[in-house]
Order: sequence, then C-alpha cells, then structure tokens
Amino acid sequence: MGILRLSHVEVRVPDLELATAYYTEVVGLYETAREQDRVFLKCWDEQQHHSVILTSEPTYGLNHMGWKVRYREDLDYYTDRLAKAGVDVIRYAAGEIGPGHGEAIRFTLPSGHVMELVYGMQIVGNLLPLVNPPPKPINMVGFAPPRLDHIFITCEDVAGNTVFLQEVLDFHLTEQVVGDDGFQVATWLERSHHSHDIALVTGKDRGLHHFAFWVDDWTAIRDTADVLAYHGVPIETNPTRHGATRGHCIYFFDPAGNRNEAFTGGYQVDPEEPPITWTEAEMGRAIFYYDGVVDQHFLTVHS
Amino acid sequence: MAASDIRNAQADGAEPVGDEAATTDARPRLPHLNRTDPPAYLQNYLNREAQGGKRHELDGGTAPDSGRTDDTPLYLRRFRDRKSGAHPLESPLPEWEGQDLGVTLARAQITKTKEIVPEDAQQAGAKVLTQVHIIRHGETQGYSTESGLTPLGSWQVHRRGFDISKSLRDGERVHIVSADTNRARQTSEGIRKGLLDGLTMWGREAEVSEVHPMEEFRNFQVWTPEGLRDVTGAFRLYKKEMEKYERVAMGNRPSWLVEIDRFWQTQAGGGDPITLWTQIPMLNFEPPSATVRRFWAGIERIRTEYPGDRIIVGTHSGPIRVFAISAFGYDPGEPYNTEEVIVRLLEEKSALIAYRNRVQEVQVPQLDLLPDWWERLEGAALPSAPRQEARA
Repeated sequence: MGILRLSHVEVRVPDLELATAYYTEVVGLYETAREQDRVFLKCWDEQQHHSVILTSEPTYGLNHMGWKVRYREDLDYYTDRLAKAGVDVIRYAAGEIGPGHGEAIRFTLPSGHVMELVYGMQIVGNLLPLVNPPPKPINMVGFAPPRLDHIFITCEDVAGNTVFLQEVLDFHLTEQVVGDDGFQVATWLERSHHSHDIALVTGKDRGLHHFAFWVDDWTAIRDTADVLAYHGVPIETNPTRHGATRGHCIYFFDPAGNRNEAFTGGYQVDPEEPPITWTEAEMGRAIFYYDGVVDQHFLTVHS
Repeated sequence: MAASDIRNAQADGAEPVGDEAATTDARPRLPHLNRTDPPAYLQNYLNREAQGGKRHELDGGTAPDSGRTDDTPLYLRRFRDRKSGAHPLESPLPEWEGQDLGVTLARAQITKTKEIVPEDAQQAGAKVLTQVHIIRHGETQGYSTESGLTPLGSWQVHRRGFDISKSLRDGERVHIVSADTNRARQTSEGIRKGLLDGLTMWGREAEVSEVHPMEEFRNFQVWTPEGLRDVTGAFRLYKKEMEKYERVAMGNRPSWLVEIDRFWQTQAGGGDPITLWTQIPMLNFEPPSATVRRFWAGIERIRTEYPGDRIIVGTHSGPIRVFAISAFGYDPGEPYNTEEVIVRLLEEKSALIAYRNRVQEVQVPQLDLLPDWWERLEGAALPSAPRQEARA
C-alpha cells in the first residue's frame, strides 16, 4: 500500500541528441521510446517502461519526478489526502503523459517541484529471461546501472517540505542535518525501507541537486569512474563515502549540467525508527565522510 | 543562448558533427546543437544510430547474442563486429622515444575546448581565406637547455593535434610550421601525429604537410656576443659569463648580461619573465613590437604561399602573448602549454583573432606603411645596422 519507490525523473536538456548519446553510451541506459522532443530510457534491470525521460528544452534541470504506487486506489487515496492539505491534483489516464506511462496524478510540492504518483506503467521486462536467467546481460555498454535509486532536490524551506512529505505522503525521515540555529539544513526520507529515496537540501526552490543510479557494490563505483574518465565526463567527486546514509558514491555531470550519482551501500530501515541527526559542525562528515569538510561546489552547484 | 537560437540551430538541420555519413538511416536525428568538440561517445552513438540504432530486442533490434538462427559463436560475431569498424583502441597510442607514456590524460587535457569560438565567418557573410593556429609548445624539461618536450609535453601536443583534427573537413590542406627550437619543432611534430591519428579515427582525408621551420615565428631574440639567440639558447653563455664576474668580483657587466640576468632572475624568483619583457624596455632584447611585426610578416607570407590552407604554428609563449596583447589592447595573460591563438584571415585585409574567450576583429597591418622610427635621425640615435649602411 502506498508509495513504493522513486519511479522516474524527467530532466531538461538543451541538446537532446548529445544527452541521449551520454545516457545510452556512457551511463548505458536503454532507449524504449522516442518522440519529437523526448527520449524515454530505462536501466537494464528495471521492468517498467522508463525511468529517465530526457526532454529537449533550452535549459537544464528537473521537470518532474515520478513515484511508483502499489495499487490504483493509492492514487485516489493520495488525491484525497492532498486535497485535504489544500494541494491541487491533476489526474492523467494511462498513456496520456507518454508512451508506456501508467495512470498518474501530478501535484506541486511547497518547494515548487512537480511530483507525480504513477500506477501501472507498462512492464517491458528487464533484459533477462524469467526462466534460468544469467545474472546480467553481457552486451552492455557504459557503466550500466541496474536501476534508478534516489533523487536529491534543493528547496528554500527544507523543514516545511520535509513535514509535507511526512504528513501528506507518508515518507519516513531517516537522517537530518540540523544547523546550530535549530533549523534543518538537509533531510533524507524513505519509502522503500532503504536509507533514502529522496533528500532535500537548502537551496533554490524547484532545484535539482542530483539523481542517482544504483550500482551493485563498491567495485562498481570504481568501474563507473573508469567509464566516466574514459569518456571525459566531468567527475565532481571521486569515489567516496557519505556519512549520512553510509552510502558509497561518485558524482558527475551529464552534458547538459545535471548532476548524476552512482550510489551503492546504505542500510535497511523500518518505518518506526527514529532519525539520525548530524550537527552543523559535523556537516562535512555527513556529506563526505572521508573529507570531513563541506564542499562548497557540491553544495552550491545545482540545476 | 536564447531559446529561439537553439530551435533555429535544430531547424536548419545543421551539419552533423564528426562523421557526416553517420545518419543515412531513416531515423531522423534528435534535436541537437552544433559542437566544435563532440565527445567520442556521441560518435559511438551516431554510429550505432547509423546502423539502425538498435541495441537489443527491447528497442526492436537484435542483440548480438540473440541471432539464434546462426551457429556462429557469439564471441566470433562480436570479434567480427569489432573488426568491421575503426575501434578507437586500435589507433596507435602516442609514444615518447618509442615508449608508452605513463601519464594521466587529465594533465594532458587540452586547455581550450569550452571557450567561445568565433561565429562561423561564412555564416556572417565573410569568407575565411586562411586560418592560422599559433600554438605554444608543450611542457618542456626546462628553459636552461634546449632539451625539448617532456613525456607529458609530448602527450599534450598529441592531444592538441587530435583536437584540431575534429575541425578539419575532408580535402582540407594543413600546413605545419614551427619556430627553430627543439621544443617548438617537437610540438609541431607531435601535433602533426595527433592530427593524423585523429583523421584516421574520424575517417577523414586531409592533406597534412611535414613540419617546416619558419624564421618569422621564432622566439623573441636576445643579443649575445655570439649573435642573436632565444633566451634558452643564450642561457649557457649567460651562466658562464655571470660566473666569471662573480669569481673576480670586479668590473662592470655588459648591458646584455645585466638585462638577461634580470630576465632569468625574475624566472628564478618565481615571477613571470615574459611580463618583464613585455613591460620593461631592454636594449639587448628584441622589442615586443618588432616581434609582433615579424609574426604578421609570417602570416602574410603564409597567406601568399599557402592560400586557403589551415596553418599550424608551433612557437613560444612570449611572441604569442605580445601578438595577442597587440590585437586586444590589454594583456590576456601567458598562454599555457599548447594553448592557441587563432587567426582567421578574412577578405578585405581584416582578421579575427581569438584567444581566451575573446574574439577581436583587426585590420591586418600593412607592414610597408608602418612608421620608420629612424627617419631623419643621424649618428648614434640610429640602430647599428642603418648606422653601418650610412658609414658605407
């Protein structure tokens, strides 16, 4: 019941061809559909039709993020909840938003981000048979992440948005950075019983800090770095570890300037567990545990 | 860039990057921008698109390992696929004295890819007659001996050549010249190798000349008792003479020694001796304006001798810098290793000069009409050559 996980992101790119080349050749996603101005992509292990949508626009950044719900009734349920909270909801029929897309509702968070809940996206299967499959396809290019993992957005009022996600959409707060003045600087929330599915950090409303692809282990982070360096992709942060979420990570930019991450690790969590708190003094460690200092580039550059 | 510009760029279907034959397939190209520096993965993608863009059953294609009607083993088909295309890994790696270079790509990264490129002059209605790349040499062992490039320097210049190859069109002629020092010559040679490797990789044909020295593009000169030298060439004599004066601790040093000492002391102190040369009048150094004049003379000669060719000049930072200063009217700074100033000669005796994100249109100086500073001067006010003429 309820929201299962992050389903997809739609990002703007000024050069659709170059971005498609990057996401297919360097990241190693699979194209499942294409329109005049949009390209639909999925990671190899995902069953559903798409998890990344590239939209040709003269700028960069996030258009919307989609979250998968378990049942069609969840859409009605959250429509009611959102209406009670005074949020306008638009409903879309299956396929109305794009090829392969399911039934969906869209609304705007207090931070201005467009959020979508989607049910019943077309299932195209991963690249493996259902009977006696090999562990992974062999002919992949790029670093070929198996799935999309989480999204990190920027907003002016982290605390307000965190409360909204908790109270209206039933997200569970796992970690937070609390400033010396008592305000939340950043928060991490989950629906999938992992360390986080979405995180918020203080910044511009409607901003995208990054979205992350899951890779299977620490070694895969290294392999990702190999692929990125080979293709001349700007790596922002070399392979390292987060304090918050305990994840392993590497950060880099797509050709439009949207930040990507390859992420692994983290931990399992149950919904009743209390959040972990990082103090402002240890914020550097919360972000990059080994460096232990706040990286201004990392905190200020967003799309 | 405004949204409308982007749309226009998409609408006129603009020239494809890299391999122009890449999009013969029915699938229309996605909206895209024109790039002077397309990454290799874009080319991989376009190649794949040219073969139908199919990578797997998922997008309606056939995976290499699912052709089950064929008994040929997968690895053999994979091997044939690979052999059928020019794979980047098959192009030779740059070498230094026959050895592989154990340096990282990042440090050899070309220094100028993301800068403003002047608008294609043909679009603007002007015709580019000749394009000249004036390029600083790669990293050297040092400036006290004529020891040429380091392995990293060789890698840098190879990268620069490779980068330039992306902008060459089929059938273009490239003429490569250099200043007469080892580091400049090795730079031009390395650029030539990088160019040829790039042309192979992009599958393009261009005519690339051997490297020729050109006097006009030599480094700025300093007078020594052994004749005119560039500062590196004069270093040994300078050191020897200085030691002599230090040992005997007496006598006045001749002015050439004083000046070249100032130059090298600035370098030794961590300062920038080229700034010293551009700012301090030195009687035994070639005046910067003479260097600029000499460069324009070289460019004029190129325009006459190789009309329409792409010219690559491997030379030194000092002359490049004063050439840019003279065009821009301010000091844009010392060029890094393999950084370039681009001169596009247009019709009507004008030229576009691009360096460090600035493009300046200048009139090509008419050298015959430049002032003669010694007109009506006599005797000691004249420089030595005209003085000797007068005596004769």
